[in-house]
Amino acid sequence: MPRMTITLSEQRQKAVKETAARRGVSITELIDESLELAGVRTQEDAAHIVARARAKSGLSDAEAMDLALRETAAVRGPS
Amino acid sequence: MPLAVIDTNVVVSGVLSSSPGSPTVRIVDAMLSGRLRFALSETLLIEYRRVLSRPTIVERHGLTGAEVDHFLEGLVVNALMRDPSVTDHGGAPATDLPAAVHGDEHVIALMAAVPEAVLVSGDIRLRESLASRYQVASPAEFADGLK
Repeated sequence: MPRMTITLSEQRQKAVKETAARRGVSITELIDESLELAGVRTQEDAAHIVARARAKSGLSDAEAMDLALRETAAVRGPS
Repeated sequence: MPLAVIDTNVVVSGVLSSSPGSPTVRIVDAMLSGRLRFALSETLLIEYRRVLSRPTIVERHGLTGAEVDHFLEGLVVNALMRDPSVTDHGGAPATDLPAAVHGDEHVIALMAAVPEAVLVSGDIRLRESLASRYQVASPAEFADGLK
């Protein structure tokens, strides 16, 4: 796994160590959790989500487009 | 690769299609990976979410609301966000838009804000109504140009 060096204030560094110790997790795990909560996610995650959706749908390309057109039209209202 | 505006039906179909290598799948994958330059407005993004959250669609893809949001975040990261109330030239968009098909006004407004873009849509009626004014393409036509 690649390493990254960050600079924190002394107080922030102390707080990170104390919080990790209190919660019984590593600093890496704590930062990972915090980034997740802040909405920092990887593109791979989004691609994985889409791959799962495609596998579940079982729709051919034509069926998927037909459904997408119908449902989009329903949102846009009658033409 | 030209700038594109990707209509909602293309994004939704690209999420639902189980056909590997299909045009909409390739377009959505290119949007997620940053290989495709595309413009997006807040209104169009909200519509992506609304359609992906409709019960019939959710039944098919099985994603939670948080997962839909996560997917959309993956798109937004690579999108060129545009406010259709302002053109690239700093003025208001042209008001002499083609006779708007009811409900498609937000797509037409975004095209007016980025007139150099290609509208990619599976909706033949919309493509035909805008073809005289903007570049339009079906998903298959557009995906042919993707690497």
